Amino acid sequence: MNKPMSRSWLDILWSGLSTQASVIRALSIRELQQRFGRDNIGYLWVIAEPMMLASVITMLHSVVAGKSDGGMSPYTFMLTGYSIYIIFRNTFNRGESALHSSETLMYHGMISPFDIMLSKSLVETIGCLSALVFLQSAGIMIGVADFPARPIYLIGAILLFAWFAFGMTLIVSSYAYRSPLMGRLVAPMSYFALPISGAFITMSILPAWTRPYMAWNPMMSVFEMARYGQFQQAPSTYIFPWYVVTVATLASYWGLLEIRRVRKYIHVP
Amino acid sequence: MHGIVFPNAQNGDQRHTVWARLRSMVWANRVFFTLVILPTVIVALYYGLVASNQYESSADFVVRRSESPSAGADVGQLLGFSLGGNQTSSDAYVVQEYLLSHDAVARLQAEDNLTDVFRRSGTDWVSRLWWANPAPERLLKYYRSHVNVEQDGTTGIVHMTVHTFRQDDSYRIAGQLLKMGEDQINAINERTYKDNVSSSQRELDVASQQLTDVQTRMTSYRRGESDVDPESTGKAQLSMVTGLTASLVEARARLQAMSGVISHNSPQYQAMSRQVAALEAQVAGQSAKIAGPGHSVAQRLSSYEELVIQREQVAKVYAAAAVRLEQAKAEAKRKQLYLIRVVQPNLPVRSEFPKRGQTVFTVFAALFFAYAIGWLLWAGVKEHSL
Repeated sequence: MNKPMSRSWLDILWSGLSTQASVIRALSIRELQQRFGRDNIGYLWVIAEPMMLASVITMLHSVVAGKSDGGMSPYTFMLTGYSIYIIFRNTFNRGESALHSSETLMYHGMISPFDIMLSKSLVETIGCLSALVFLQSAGIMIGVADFPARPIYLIGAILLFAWFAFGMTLIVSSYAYRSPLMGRLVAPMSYFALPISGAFITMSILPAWTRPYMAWNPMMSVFEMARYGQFQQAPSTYIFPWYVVTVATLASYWGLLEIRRVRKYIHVP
Repeated sequence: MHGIVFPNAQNGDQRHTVWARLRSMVWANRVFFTLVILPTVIVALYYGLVASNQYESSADFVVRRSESPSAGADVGQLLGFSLGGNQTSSDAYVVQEYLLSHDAVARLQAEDNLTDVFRRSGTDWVSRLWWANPAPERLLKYYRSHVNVEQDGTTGIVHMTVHTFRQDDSYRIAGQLLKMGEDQINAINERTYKDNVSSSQRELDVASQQLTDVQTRMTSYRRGESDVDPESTGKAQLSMVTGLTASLVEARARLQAMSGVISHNSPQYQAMSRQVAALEAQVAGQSAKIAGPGHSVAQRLSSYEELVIQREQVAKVYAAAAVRLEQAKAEAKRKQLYLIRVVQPNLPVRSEFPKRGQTVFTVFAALFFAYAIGWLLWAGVKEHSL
């Protein structure tokens, strides 16, 4: 049955998974250390940073938007839009330099570029998510926000978006590692993606002729879904979760192929 | 493997059974299992084994006016921060608010025994209403968790759902709620109709009263003066005087012509001059009747004309009031609300609530997120403690 040297598939899976998990865990903590250090509030910056961005943007927009109609509070609207968007923006922008800064880690055989990217994505995502949770809770306490009407949709949208962002980041980081030009283009790309992402606009206010084109934008679908989860009266007309899943899958697949190819170019000192 | 040396590695791992492996895995991740998996399992067990079926009956309706004022774009829309198309009507909110109010609950309680509906035997202890005689506030809270009325922002259609533990209960309550909504709309219509029309009606009543008064005064005047129409009487009088004057002038001329030809003592001349004198007396008398002092036509005419002018004024006021009343009626008709049933309530057959899988998954995902956030914080804390 259990001869030595012959390992069951379960064994292999289990040890592989646990190794992967500990690597990811360690890398995430390293990421926290590296980025936020130990000064003042240290690792808490992972939450404070997106929180500052999100709160300032949200406040600005809420003041401008004033009294909303149809019961969507502008505070919640902007907060949901922006704090979910920065999941993409932060991971995407970090993707540019992620591999360069972690080259030395590749000395360890079990650390792959993929692990590095995944841990960075995880840290960013959890940070933005925490910011959303904290700000939303604060809003609920003050009375300018409501508890999500359909939490499952909001959660699903965040997961989908994080996945999509991760796939895109894999692609971008592997290309950026090889071509500096690509690296230069990363930040503008994520910046220009904001207005068309649907973080601050709904399908229903767009002119009717643009909607079929916008429906091809997976981000739009994600934000419609997030808003449908957050607001009782948001429409569910433009939610295409399976389309987003498809895009995210393709992006991840492409990204995984690219990140595997990057390994050849990495010269470990 | 690349020769990793794990801390606290279990050297000589003899436990190859799946069960033992599972146990060790759970023990290694005990925090995760206690905080995420265990509550999820508890919730799943409750929903899978304990929670009673709920049946949903739903209905759609629209609340509309015959004419709706178009709302202007708000600032947010101009700045592009609008939160979506807006077809909502405030009238629908009236019904929505009412159906979710203590008022509606009280009525349902009186007519349909709401507490019994929410306390059917055989429903599980967690989801049923806990009190046999709940305070109205508690009943309202519970009711609101089972009855949902919401308006679609883009179409303006109000969607109503009722969840109860029995098919027929859901169906009955949904029908009852629709009926109550209709009653409410009708009551509002009656009020607005009354408010709009009653003031114009009052004005019209006053005007018609005045008209009657003037008419009465005129009649009594005519009776008193025994004169139907002083104006035409005066005209007749005038024409008579004119006629008389004409004959007088003619008679005088003839007399004048005669006086040169025949003597003044001739009978012909005498007769003529008498005629002239009689005519003169007549003319003087009749003229005095027209405009002399005392009871002359002129005086009668002035007081009569006063009455006529009054009557004309009052008649104008009356006509205007009548027009206004018609307008008010039309306006009230235009402002009438209608509750149009789009979809009739259905008699549910299969239970679709509670959404077991969805709820369990939501709980799991939320806990997982919470755990992830907590882990991140805890990891940081651990890093700090050397």
